[in-house]
Amino acid sequence: MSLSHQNREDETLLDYFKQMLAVEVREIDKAQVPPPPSSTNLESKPQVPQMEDFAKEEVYKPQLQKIEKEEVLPKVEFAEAPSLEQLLSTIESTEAQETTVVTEPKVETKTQEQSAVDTQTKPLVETKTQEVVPKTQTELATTTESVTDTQVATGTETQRATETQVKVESKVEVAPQVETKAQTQKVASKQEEKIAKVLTQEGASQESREVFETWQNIEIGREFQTLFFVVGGVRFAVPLIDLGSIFETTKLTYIFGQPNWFLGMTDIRGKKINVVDTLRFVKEDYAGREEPYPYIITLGTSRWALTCDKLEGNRTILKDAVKWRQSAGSRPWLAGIVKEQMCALIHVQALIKLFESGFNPRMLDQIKDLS
Amino acid sequence: MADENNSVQAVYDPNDGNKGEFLRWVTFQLDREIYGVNVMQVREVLRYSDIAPVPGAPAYVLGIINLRGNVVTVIDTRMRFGLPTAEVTENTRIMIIESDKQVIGILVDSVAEVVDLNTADIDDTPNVGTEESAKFICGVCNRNNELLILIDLNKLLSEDEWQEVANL
Repeated sequence: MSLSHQNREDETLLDYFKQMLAVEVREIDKAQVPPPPSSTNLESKPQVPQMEDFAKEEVYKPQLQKIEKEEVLPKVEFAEAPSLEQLLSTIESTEAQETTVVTEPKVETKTQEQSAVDTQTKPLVETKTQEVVPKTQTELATTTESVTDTQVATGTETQRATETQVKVESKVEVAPQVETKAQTQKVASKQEEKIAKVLTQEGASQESREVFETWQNIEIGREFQTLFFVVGGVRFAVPLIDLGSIFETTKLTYIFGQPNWFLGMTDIRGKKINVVDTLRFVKEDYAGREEPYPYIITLGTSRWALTCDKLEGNRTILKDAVKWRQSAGSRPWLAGIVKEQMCALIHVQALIKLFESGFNPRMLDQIKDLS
Repeated sequence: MADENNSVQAVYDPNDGNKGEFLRWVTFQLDREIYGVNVMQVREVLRYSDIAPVPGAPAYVLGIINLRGNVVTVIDTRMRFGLPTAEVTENTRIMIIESDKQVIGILVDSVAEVVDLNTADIDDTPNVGTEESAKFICGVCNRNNELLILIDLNKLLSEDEWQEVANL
């Protein structure tokens, strides 16, 4: 390609010089015959440019235009300018790629190190749960070593990234520790301690403390009859064996100086019954109501009764149909949850003890505030 | 003198199978409930008259009245029992009572009657109250299908409060 171009250029140069020589000869010929000094001579001066124009138009221009514009210039324009831009862009992109390429493998190496740490930690936690704490310390030490290595190589941003990743790892490492039985027992004991704290702070009586300390769930047969009732839209269940009687509510006598969950007293067949606003006792955000409850349900042979809006009748349910609770927690009155009806099964004996002690377990909601 | 006044007036009924003592109580009404106080502690019952407020007195003190030349402090019973306030009506009364400390007046909505109650029929109230006012109640008793709340007037005020009222 270059040879052909050179040949063409040589040919065009030769033609150009030949034509120039021809023009000079013609000009010399015309110069030998001077024009007459007249106005026409002045007008005839442009005849020299006519000769130049003739030479350019007929001989020079077409060839030069054809050669320069069509063959040389286009190649230069499209071969050089775009390539420079592309080169600049590619240089910039390659610089950026180089930086990213530099950082990416570094991050990869870190993640490789961290993944290696993960693979090391998982079997450690699975195999030896008792020695998890010192091992996590060594794991954190290894991760911090990897961080210090990357500090020299990469920069602050990657360091932050690795630091956050290390934190995530530490969280993941803590989770299986909580799942161990010993720690769950510790958590339960801590909760009991908090409950004891609240009980002492609230000046709870010894009776109320015994409710929590000696709490045992209902001992009942494989199947048992249960009364379902509704208060304020909330369904409850009570084992019939622990139930007293159901009465229509008559006049309740308000006794001042009592807790807000204590609705009042009523006389039923010569027996004074303490009526409790069921929802107000068990539900924290229930403000009570002025509308009287149509029924009261006495608990066993005690003097305590729960309010009730609607009786749904009794059903025989299996023991397995209840999700039984294992500890008193903050709600000793709750024996479990009836799975099908999704309602609370009341632990009547514990509830009576709570009533007698005058302690409302809703005070234990303050456990959240205790540190 | 105070011991004699505070002694229980017992009426023995030989036909009563419970062989319990009968106590005589003056009943009065506050809000929607009926209360009873030992009749031996009630000196007299007055119609409502103007009560002169005492600046700087405790909130439960309504003021003072002149009872035949003697200054008697009147207690806001509703406030003391934690009940909402109410307007004075024609039935409003001032019961002049005599505790083992001193003579005071208590403002009540109305005074009903004097009743005899068998001590065997008096039941304790549940010991679940955390407020001081729960100590005022010494029992409940059924009377014509209504429960009377029996008040121990000696516990209506604490020792310091009795002293404070005496120094008004």
